[in-house]
Amino acid sequence: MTKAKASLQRHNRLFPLVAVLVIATVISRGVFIRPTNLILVMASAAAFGLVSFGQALVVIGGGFDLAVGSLVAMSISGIVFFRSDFGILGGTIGALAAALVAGLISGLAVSRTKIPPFIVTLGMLSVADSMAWIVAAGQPITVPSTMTPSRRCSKAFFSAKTYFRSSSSFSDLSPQACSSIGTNGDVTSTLSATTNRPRESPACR
Amino acid sequence: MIRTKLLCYGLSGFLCAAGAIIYLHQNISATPGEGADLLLSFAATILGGVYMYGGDGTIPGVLVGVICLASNASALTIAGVSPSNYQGVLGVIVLAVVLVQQEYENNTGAAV
Repeated sequence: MTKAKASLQRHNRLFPLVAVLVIATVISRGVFIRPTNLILVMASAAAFGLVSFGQALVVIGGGFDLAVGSLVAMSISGIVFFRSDFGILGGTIGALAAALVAGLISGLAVSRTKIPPFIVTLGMLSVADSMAWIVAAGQPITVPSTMTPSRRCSKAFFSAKTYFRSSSSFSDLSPQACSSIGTNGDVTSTLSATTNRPRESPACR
Repeated sequence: MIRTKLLCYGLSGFLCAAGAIIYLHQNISATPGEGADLLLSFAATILGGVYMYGGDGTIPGVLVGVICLASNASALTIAGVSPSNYQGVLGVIVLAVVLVQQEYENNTGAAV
């Protein structure tokens, strides 16, 4: 294969992206391509992108990871609910380690035995899912306001945060919850505003 | 070979937790059943040119796939499509991409 042909084939992969961007701009009547919206798109794709990179590694290796969604759920529950005991840093490191160990376990099962990746990761999906529910004690999770971006940080993000708040289509929050976070900044008020749970729930500790 | 696969799955889990950190940073509430729609990450990898049965694919390609899917969701929202219809549209797109991949492979005899 000549060099020109190879480079053409490499740029082939950008054609779908260009097509999607053009179509998106057309059907949204030009709103899509505005910088504020592009920032929003990038921000909303960040978590999904990281998960996709992990998935890509597995798929290139000839496998398939069904467990990604529930591993994310497990990590979310782990960070929020171990924060009270070990602090944010401890909870985060613990969640990273737990997800790494879960991935290594399914990797071990896939590579050392002849069980198909589909079955192994299906099992890991169930395990991680139930871990998430156990750790969260079946409650809806309210993220403490100390974890959401501070005002200082969001200024650096091209005021993307105001965009998050103003666009109701990208967040499923009630305006009530938003205002309670703004005024009180406490977990408890948000929790009572969104779920009407009693104070004894683990999230309130 | 065995160690590579092991590391792939381990890194996948690790990146899941990293994604969860970013998710927590952006959202104020979540449920323990969060992330069921993250199976679309498989769609993003295929859309990004990763060969479905393994052996070929690049991370920049996957980045392209991710941006494609995210752009779709954004554009459909702005165009006024109900959020409950995203999944259908995305599913159709993924099926089309897989069909094109198969055709390309049949015609050229090589993995895309």
